Amino acid sequence: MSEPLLRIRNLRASVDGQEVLKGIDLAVAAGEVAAIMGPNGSGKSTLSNVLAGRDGYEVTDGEVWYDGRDLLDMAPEERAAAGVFMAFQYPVEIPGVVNATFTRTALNAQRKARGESAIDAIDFLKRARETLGRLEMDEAFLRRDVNAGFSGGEKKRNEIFQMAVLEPRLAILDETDSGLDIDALRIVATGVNAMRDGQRALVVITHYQRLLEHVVPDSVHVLADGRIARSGDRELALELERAGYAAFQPA
Amino acid sequence: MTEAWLAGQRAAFAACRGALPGAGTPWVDALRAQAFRQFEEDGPPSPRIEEWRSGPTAALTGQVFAPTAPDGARPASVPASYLAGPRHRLVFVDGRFSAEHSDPGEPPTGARLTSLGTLLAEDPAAARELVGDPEAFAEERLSLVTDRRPQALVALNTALASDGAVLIVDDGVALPHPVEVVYLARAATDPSAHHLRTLIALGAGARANVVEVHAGGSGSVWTNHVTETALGAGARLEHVRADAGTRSAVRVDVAHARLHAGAAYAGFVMAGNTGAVRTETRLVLEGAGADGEINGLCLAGGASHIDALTRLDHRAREGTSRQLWRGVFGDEARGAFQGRIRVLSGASGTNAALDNRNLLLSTGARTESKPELEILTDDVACSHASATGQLDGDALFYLRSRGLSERMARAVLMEAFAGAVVDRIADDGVRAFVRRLVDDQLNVLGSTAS
Ligand SMILES: Nc1ncnc2c1ncn2[C@@H]1O[C@H](COP(=O)(O)OP(=O)(O)OP(=O)(O)O)[C@@H](O)[C@H]1O
Ligand SMILES: [Mg+2]
Repeated sequence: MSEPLLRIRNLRASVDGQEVLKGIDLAVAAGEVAAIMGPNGSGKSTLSNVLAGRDGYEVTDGEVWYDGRDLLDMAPEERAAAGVFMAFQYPVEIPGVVNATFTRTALNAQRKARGESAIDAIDFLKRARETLGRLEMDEAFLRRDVNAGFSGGEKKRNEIFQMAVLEPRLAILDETDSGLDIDALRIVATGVNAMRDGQRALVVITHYQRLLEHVVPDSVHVLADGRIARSGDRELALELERAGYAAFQPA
Repeated sequence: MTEAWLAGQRAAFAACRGALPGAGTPWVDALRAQAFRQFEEDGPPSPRIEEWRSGPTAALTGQVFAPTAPDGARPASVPASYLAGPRHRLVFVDGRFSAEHSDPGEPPTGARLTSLGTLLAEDPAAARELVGDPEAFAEERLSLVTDRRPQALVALNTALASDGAVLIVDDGVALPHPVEVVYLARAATDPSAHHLRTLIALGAGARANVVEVHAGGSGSVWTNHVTETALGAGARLEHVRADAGTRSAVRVDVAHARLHAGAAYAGFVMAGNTGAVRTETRLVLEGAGADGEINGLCLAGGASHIDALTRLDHRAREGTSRQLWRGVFGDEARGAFQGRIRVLSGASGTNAALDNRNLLLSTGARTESKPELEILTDDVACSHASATGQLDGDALFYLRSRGLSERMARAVLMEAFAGAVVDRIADDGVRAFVRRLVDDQLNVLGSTAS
C-alpha cells in the first residue's frame, strides 16, 4: 500500500502546559473521507489547529507527515499552499476586509507559492460566481466583509465557499455542520462531495450522524481524551449515535 | 535652551519682518508686532502646559529653527500632482508661493484662489477680514478659564507667516474640482522654520474641497502651519491635511474652523512624518444645526512621534459632530491623542461622538489616548470610546491558514483598520489619493514591524 496523504504518529500537544493530545495515531489516504467524532473537549479542534499550524500549541512528541513532507515544520501559509485547508469551527470576523478581495488574495498567494500564475480579477469573479451558484449562496457574499455580521450558518457556508475556490488536497472540516439548517446542510454536503475526486482527502469532524448521511465516510474515528480510542467504518458512527460516548469517557 | 530659542526667534523676527508679505501695510505691521509680543509673553510650548504634556516640545525647542530668506534656488524636484482628476493646484516651496510650479487653473466666478503674499499685496483689506486676532485663539478650559499659552505657536505664526493658500468663495458658489495645495520643504542644513498660514472662507451655501499636502523636509526643518477657516451658513468644506512622506524634524499643524448655522466641515488628517507631528483640529459650531467631522490617521514608525489634539465645541443647538481617529504605531514610535467634545449651555439637541482606536505593532511602541467630554447643558447625546491593542492573533492566523504570508496578513489587517477612516472621505478622487498615501505609509510600517 502506498504512503497515505496524511500520517499522524503518536502526536502529543499541550496548551498552556496542559496536555490535550495524548498520542494521536491516524492515517488518511488520498481519496479518503475520514470522520472524527468525540465528546466535547476531547481535543478535536486542538488536532485541527495543530494540523493547520496555529500558534500556542506545543507539540511535545510525535510527527505529522503530509504528502511526504514534515507538516509540523511548515508555516501555516506553506501548509495552505501545499494544499491543507481547515474550515474553522468558529470562523473569525474580519471587518474591513472584503470577502472577494481576500479570497482572491489567498488564492493568488497560494498559486504564487506553487509557482503558478496569478488569476486576474475577472477570471476570479467568474470562478467565484460559479462556486457561489453551486452552493446556492447570494453573490452579495463577495462584497461583504469576511464573516462580519454573518449568521452562524453563513460563516460555515463561507468556509465551504473558500474551500471550493482554493481546491485543497486535504480539507479538515471542524464541525462545519454545526448550526446549519437542513437546506444548508444539504448544500454544504454537496460542496464537500464535489471535492471527492479520488485524490483529495477530507477529515470531517462532527458530532452528528446527520452530515455523514450525505457525506459518507470511508472511516470513522473516535477521539476521546486526546487519543483515537476506536476506529471503524460508517457503522461506528451509527453505533455512537445510539450509545453515545459513555464507553469512551474516562472512568 | 528656551532662552536661546526665544532669542533666536527674536533675531529672526527682527531680521525678516521688513520683508514679510504685507510689510509696510500699517495693520499688518501692527498685527505682526502684537502677535510677536504675545508670543514672547507666552513662550514656546512646554510639557508644563496641559495641552502640550505629550507634545513634541523637546524636538521643537531642541534646535533654534528660524525663517530663512529665499535663496532663489529652484527645488531639485516637485512632486507630481497628487490628485488624478481635474484640480486647482498651488505649490509652495520652503514657505513661499511658487507660481512656476503651480497650476491654479480657472476657479469659477465668485471663487478666489490665491496666495497670502499675493492677497496682502493686491487686496490687503480682504485679508484683514480673514486673519484672526492672535488673542482669539486662546484655549478655553473647563469652566471657561482661558489660557493663551497652548496657542503660542499660532501667535508666532501670525508674526512670521511667509505665505500660504487663500481660498475665498462667495455665497452660493461651488467649486466643481478640488484644490490641491502642496507645501514642499527642501532639505535644509541649518535649522529652518516655515510659517504657513492658509485662509479659507466660504460664503453662505458655498462648497469646496481642499487638500493640503506636506512633502519633503529634513531633520533641520520645522513647519508651523495654521489653517483658519470660516464657513458661512449652509456652506460645506471637505478639508484634507496629509503628510506625503515628509521627513521634517517637527511639523506643527493647527486648523481652526468656525461654522455658522447649518454649515458642514468634514476634516481628515493623515499624519505620518518621520520626525514629530503635532496636529490640532479645533472646530467651533457657532450656528444652529452645524455639522463637524474630524477624522484622522496617525501612522508612525521608527522613532517618530505623533501628537494629535481635537477640540469640538458645540455652541449652538442641534449641532452634530463625529470624530474617528485611528493610530498605528510601530518600532519605537510614540503617539498621543487628546480629543474633546464640549457642549456649552444653549447647545441643546447636540449629538456628538468620538472614537479613538490604536494599534501597536511592536513592544517598543507606545501611545496614550485621552478622550474628554465637557457637557454644560442637558438634552444632549454624546459618546466616546477609546481602545489600544495589537493586531488580532485569531484574524492573523485565519488569513495565514488561507495562504497569506505573515507580512501580507498583517498588511491586510492594518489596511482594514486604517481603511475605516479613509472610507469617510466623501470625494472619490481625494479618497483614492489618501488611500494610496496610507497604503504607502503602512507598507513602510509593515516592512519594519516584527
Ligand atoms: N487555547 C486554549 N487555551 C486553554 N485551553 C484550551 C485551548 N484550546 C483548547 N483548550 C482545552 O483543550 C481541551 C480540548 O479542546 P478542543 O477545543 O480541542 O475540544 P473539542 O474536541 O474540539 O471540543 P468541542 O467538541 O466542544 O468542539 C479542552 O479542555 C479545552 O478547554
Ligand atoms: Mg471543537
